[in-house]
Amino acid sequence: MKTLIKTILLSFPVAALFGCDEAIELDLNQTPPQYVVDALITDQLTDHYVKLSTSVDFYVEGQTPSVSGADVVVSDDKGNVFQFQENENRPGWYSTRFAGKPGSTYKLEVKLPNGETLTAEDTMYPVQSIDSLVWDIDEKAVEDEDPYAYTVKIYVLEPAATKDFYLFKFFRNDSIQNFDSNTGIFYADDELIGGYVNGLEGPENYRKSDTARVEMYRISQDAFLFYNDLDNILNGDGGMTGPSPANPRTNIRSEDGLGLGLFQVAAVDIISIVAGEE
Amino acid sequence: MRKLIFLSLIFLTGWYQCAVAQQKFTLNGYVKDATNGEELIGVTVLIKESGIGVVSNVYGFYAISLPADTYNVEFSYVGYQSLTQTILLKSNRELNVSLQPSVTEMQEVVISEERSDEFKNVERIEMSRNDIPVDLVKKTPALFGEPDIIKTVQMMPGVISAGEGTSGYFVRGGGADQNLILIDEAPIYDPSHFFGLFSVFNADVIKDSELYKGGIPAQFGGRLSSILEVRTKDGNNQQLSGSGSIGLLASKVMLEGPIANENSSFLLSARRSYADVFLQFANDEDLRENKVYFYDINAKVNWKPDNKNRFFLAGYAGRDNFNFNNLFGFNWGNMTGTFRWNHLFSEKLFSNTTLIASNFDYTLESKQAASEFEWSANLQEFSLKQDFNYFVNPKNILSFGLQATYRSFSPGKIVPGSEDSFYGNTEMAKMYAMDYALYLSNEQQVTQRLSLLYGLRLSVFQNVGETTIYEYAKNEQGIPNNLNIRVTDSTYYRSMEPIKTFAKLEPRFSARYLLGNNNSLKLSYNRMVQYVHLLSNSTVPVPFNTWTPSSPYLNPQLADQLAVGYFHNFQENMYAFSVETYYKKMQDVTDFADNANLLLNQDAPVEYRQGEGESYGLELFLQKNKGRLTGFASYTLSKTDLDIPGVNRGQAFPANYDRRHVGNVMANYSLDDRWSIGSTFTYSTGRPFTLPVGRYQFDDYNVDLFSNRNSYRLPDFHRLDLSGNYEPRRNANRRWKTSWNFAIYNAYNRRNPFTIYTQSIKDEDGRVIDPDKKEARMVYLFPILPSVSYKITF
Repeated sequence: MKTLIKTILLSFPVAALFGCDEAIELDLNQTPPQYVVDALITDQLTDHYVKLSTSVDFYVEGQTPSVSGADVVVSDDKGNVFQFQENENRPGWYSTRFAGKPGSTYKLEVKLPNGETLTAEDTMYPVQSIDSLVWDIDEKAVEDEDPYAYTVKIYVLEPAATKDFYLFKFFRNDSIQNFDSNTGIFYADDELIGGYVNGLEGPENYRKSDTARVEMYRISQDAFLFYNDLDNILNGDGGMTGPSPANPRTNIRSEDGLGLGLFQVAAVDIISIVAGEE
Repeated sequence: MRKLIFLSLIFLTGWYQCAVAQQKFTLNGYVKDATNGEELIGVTVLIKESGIGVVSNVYGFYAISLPADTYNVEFSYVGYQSLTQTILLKSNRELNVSLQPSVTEMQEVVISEERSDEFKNVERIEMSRNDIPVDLVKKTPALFGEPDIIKTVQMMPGVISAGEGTSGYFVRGGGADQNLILIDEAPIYDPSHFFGLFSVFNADVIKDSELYKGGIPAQFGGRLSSILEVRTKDGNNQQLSGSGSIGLLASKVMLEGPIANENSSFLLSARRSYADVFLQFANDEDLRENKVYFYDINAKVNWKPDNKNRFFLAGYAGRDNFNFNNLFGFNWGNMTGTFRWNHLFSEKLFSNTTLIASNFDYTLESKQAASEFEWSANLQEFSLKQDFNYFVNPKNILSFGLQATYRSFSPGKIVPGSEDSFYGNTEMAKMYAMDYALYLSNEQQVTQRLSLLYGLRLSVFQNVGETTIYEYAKNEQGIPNNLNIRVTDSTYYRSMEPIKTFAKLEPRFSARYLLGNNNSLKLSYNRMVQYVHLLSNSTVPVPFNTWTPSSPYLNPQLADQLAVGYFHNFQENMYAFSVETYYKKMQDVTDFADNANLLLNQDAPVEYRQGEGESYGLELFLQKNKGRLTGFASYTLSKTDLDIPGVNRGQAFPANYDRRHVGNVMANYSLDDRWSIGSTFTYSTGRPFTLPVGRYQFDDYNVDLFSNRNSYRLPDFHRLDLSGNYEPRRNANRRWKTSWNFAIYNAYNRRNPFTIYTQSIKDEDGRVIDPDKKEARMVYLFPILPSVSYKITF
């Protein structure tokens, strides 16, 4: 829960008080594309995806190129091997159906079409359940006649004995809510948490009858560090009052060092309610 | 080795001559301002018959030993009328003098003796030292009309500013945490108000301040790159006087005067900003709830029972307070206290005993439902200093002393703000340290032309308990692994139990050789050691950064600097010019791993990285102290690289503050006895910056791809400020006088880069238009800003 404090702190440099900003054109060098892994395996019995793509130059518009024709295999420490298949209508998306098991360590091995190999390893830890998700009325929004007048609050017991890391995802009618800027990341460790999270408000408001869904992932330390670094890049100020931006720490290993992206293995608890319904 | 150095020191001082020399007597005393009793620092005391001169020390005290005879002694100081007294010296004698300030600065230039005070630039042994002209600072333009010496420090040669709106500065390739900032000898750990828009120094109470960048004398230590020494006024011991001023941003009052008689005086000053007062008139109710202010209080009491004993007690307290809609708030502040006793043991032995306390703390709190908390952190320091000046003979002044400091670092404590808060009670491990220093140095006139200042400082630093030291798993390079953080061992230390002890010898050396009547060559070398480290990986430190001692996690930082310079005064000391070049090599410079998370992180030591730094540069400086036009111009050409294993994938990179060219001009011109106009201009190469080289997709995020740290530069920075000062003619019947200051900041409205960030393209309401298209945006701070302030002095 350092993130919350960090957000408060860094959201208030002098620039926020007096600053103005304007778009500028950067004169940037071209750079060779680099491979990116975006993989998530949970304890749900569902299709799990490994998405492969490459980076592009900063000013290139549109979707980044996908990487087809790779060999994607995930194995666990119990001897199970999961061969991923590339989807026919979504190039670069590789999937297979199984349920991850908390306590297992998973290995990812990707053989790229050019012969290079990317590897990664992550462990799944059990997640406790969210006690409840309740809605509440935002009086101020009602006053302003804003239809988005419902907030949601989460109640969860956090086990104090272990050092745990979490990632939260908030959905409104199945669409993810990362604030309105596509830069919100809700990750936390329990270092400062007392035990009970008692009605923590979600980041976005809902209309009556919207379905609000919260997914709570128990992530590894590797993944936590990745999200911390990702947050620095997405929400940093270029290194004036925060750290100089640098690519995130990751568990992806390429042949010549660290890769890009994350192989995330996490148990998840999902809860949803309909705003305004008892 | 140490013994050898000491022996050669004694040999060099020429003590052995004393026994055979003819009998000498000592002339000593204090020099002060006749109008308010302030002691004057750096007054040149010249024996006209022999050409021998001494300079009054930082307490306004001077001493000189001479054979019995009759002498003409001249006291001279810039801005004051010189005074010559004829004395008959046939026993030890005390001579206290008071100098009258010059009637007006537009007086005709008097062609004075060669070795007057204006000659100091050429004559003094120390190089790489700048006196901050406080009077000039008050007349030249300032942001929101609030004069600030830190902003002038940032314009000195060899000093690089972090940018506008900050109090951070970088001296000769050193980081922002490598500057020791002292107010009446007490350290200030964060000199900023409003995140650096202003500094904690209220220009009205400053008597004198100077910046040491190289050839740093042995009595100073503890930071690698510079010492900024700020001394406050003693308080007028002649009559009650004061001033009050009203500015756009802040108002100030000051009162000073004698207490019972002229032996004692006091000074009391307060300053408060009132942006929040205006907020009360805002239409938006939410805004009215906001609290945004800072204040400063300076207080000082002086007591001089006799000429052998002088006491003073000085205190400073300042704080910034911010509160937003009662949802979250923060505050930070410094508090310092100094007690000083000057004592004259004999005509030749001057002693200064100082007790110092300093405290820096910050608090932040959130009142958001379910996550209420109060977080607080502080740093405390208590010091005892004993300094001696021994005026051996006219050619040698010996300085020696010792210092002991206790420090306690509390990096943070969190308390839940309500029963429902999910925060628990957490306290980060405190750290403690003891710091000792012994020094000895001698100022020696070897020949008429050559003078030396040399010394040695022994510093000993101990990281002590109570604490637990953890050992972290290391990676292949032997650096703590911050990809996979694991504790492999831990050791508990009892209260005051030494954990790790460091001892370093710091040699210091300066030499000055007079080439002719108005020019000199100077050379200096110094080794500096820094035992405390600022945990900040930003370019500009923010008040929420904490400090940590050298420990098993961090070695002391060390710097060796060599500098040479040529000093020349032109046109009867009207112009003082200098050119200096330096080379500095730093070892164990503290930095942090890429993306390091230092805030509230119990495992922060895995992010610590140390490596080498190298800096070199050329500095030009021209100053004009007399005449209608006064001011200075400076130019710095420099380069600073850091090479730190575990940072930037092990490749060397330019420091965040590496700016190739920096030029500054600050000037004031008196039109007549009522009007003067002032101007400052500053230019610098843009600072190095890490820009994205590409972008990629992860989940729903559009992420920048980075290559090397600081491989680009921001656009150049330049700005012109203008001011006008108006002092109506003083009405003969009234005791008080008034003055107006009008200023324009950023006169040609330059959009100077503060930083650059990137985002997916958004509309005016901040909604993302196209998540697959990114843009870079440059943040700039201040457009053209006029200001006015009004001051009453009595």
